[in-house]
Amino acid sequence: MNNRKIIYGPKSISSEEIKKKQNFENIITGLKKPPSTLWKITGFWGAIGTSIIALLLYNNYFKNHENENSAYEEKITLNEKISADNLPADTECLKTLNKEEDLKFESFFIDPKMAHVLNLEDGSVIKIKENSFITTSDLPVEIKLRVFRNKSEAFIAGVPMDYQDGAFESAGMIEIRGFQGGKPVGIHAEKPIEISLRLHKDPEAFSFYQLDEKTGSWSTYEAKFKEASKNTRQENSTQLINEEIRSNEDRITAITHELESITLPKREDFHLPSEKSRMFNLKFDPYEFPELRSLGNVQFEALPGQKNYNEVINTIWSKMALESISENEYLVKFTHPSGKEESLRVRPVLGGEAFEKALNKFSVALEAKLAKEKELENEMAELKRKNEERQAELLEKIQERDARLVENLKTGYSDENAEIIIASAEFSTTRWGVFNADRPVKYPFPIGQPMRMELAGKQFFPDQIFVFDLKKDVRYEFGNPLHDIKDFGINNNETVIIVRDSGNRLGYLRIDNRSELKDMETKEFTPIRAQDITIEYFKNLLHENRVRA
Amino acid sequence: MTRVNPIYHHSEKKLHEELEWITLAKSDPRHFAPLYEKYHEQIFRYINQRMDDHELAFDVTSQVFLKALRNLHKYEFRGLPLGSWLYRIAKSELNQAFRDRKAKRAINIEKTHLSTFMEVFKEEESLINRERLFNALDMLKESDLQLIEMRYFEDRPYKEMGEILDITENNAKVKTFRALEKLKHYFNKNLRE
Repeated sequence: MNNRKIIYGPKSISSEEIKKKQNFENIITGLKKPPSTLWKITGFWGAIGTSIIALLLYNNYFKNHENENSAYEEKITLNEKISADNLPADTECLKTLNKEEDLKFESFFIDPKMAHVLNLEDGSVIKIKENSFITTSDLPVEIKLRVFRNKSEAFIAGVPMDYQDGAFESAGMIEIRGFQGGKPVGIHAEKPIEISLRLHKDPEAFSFYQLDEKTGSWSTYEAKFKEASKNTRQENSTQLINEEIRSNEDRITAITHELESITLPKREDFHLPSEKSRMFNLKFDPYEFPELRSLGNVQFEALPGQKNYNEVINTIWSKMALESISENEYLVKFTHPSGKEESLRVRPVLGGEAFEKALNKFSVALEAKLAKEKELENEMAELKRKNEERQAELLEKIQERDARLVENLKTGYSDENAEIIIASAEFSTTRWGVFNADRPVKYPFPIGQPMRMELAGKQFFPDQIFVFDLKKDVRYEFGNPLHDIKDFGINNNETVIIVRDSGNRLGYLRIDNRSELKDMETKEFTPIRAQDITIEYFKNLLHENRVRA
Repeated sequence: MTRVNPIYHHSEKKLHEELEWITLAKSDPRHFAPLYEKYHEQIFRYINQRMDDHELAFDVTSQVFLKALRNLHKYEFRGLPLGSWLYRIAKSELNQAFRDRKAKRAINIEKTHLSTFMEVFKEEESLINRERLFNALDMLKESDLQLIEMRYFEDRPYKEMGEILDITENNAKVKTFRALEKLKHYFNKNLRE
């Protein structure tokens, strides 16, 4: 044992808290002091004269740069972060899960008479022409914006991600608004704001949309996708591979559903006996049971698992009567001379020539279904094999590209074969709101059977079910006007299901594949506590919390 | 099958930008400011994951950047993000803090991590299994624990792990696999004992 301390469920620290602790000035101040270990170095005292001179020069250097620094600080004030209290009010369709933990807006205070270029941290650029706004005074205009970089941020902010019959995954999304003196300002039609929104996915096959904040629906919006520093020949090849992988995955999902829906024929559907020892003859009135008369040579087979079966067949009865229970099930009532009565549930089965014919039909139907199943399974295996090959091919191309990138950097960045995707969506707008580069992904097939959910040991009735498909990188939502909660389904991928009820109680369940939901009647969801409704928590839950160098 | 992300974690432009900042910072440390802002959170999270005291973790993080600035003149660009160098300094500073007994080596486990391991080990999430996992983690050698933490707690790609640990991506994969096997072995051993 190493006697390490295990901390289970540690208190999470938000990015904002960490940012508050940033203090570069302290580091610089610390740098000016010689490290304590220097005093232990013998050579230090020999070189003390040089050190003092160096320190003096160093201090002098910082003094000379003080003016530059104060100028920099002035710029910083234009870019100050604002508190959650100052967030614009929720719109009808943007309802945050937790106001305190919602994705914060950045504020830029600008002189409306001047032209401005706002450079955002993620590389997005916003160009504002002089006198762009319909203002009532010369007060500064405050531009509030936030860029959504992952599913967790959009989820906490309550951004709807449905488009027609598909779900959105987002390659880049921005919300931008303008205010003067706390009131919204308009934008002159002839002076639209130009936005270059940095995307985090290759925008091939993506479109651009704006959110209708009253209805919560998206409508297409004109934008041009621009990709810089991209080697078209190379990129086309990876794009084609990506497309092929995606289309294969869609087909695999469809096959999974087809396989689930295949039901093998049953012997009883063809009136074939399953256990001959339970068969017996019984005279019945063919006019009372015309459906049995049409079958031909009808006998009966007692249904399995009836406790009184042995007693019934070993007793001599004075009277037997047949009674129909359901389409393919009957009840035989036995009466003893003593007045005692018993009954057995039976189903009609065929004998003689009729049996042979039915058996033949059953075999043909069974073989056809099994052949179909086999065919689909083979197709799925082939698609999976192809996808593995394509993935390996893709990985190889990316590794080649990375190697080339490193080489380019060493040799002065001049290689025109450099293949880097720096994509952006270029658009202009005279309206504030939420803009999104996206493409709708098909909803999964419904599970088709009700699932009993439990949260903290009690039955749970969600109003909304959010399905995060981690492989397709998409969020499906059930329990809205477009997708009823009854249509709930998941793909055959690693999935996180988040449920929410009318009291804003949340729970989650991690599922590896679709079949896990079919086999179990009750699913226990892990509660998400109110204090856990944070971007960080969901990033962890959805595996988005990668620390990237 | 994991979908390969076609956008690698550092674009040419970003690496180029970093190199420019580093070059400028070598003559004027103030130019290191954007790099400090860029890496502060991830270095803090790396340190905090291994400690039981947030404040101390912030102190060690500051030490990392101080040391980085003091040694920046020795830094040679090898086509990797500056982060890989900072992580190596962080590792050394952490060890120093543990040696000085300022801090205790801790393993921070989120509930979701527990689920991940139970899925990998095909075991149910129960109190007993949780204890078995904690014991197993405590039994791992530091180098193996490091790999498990990076891969399963911090969800890092093997390439990045390789860069931080100064080994190849393949080597990182193999070593992580072996560390997981050891963890599984200790986990099962806990049951037998």
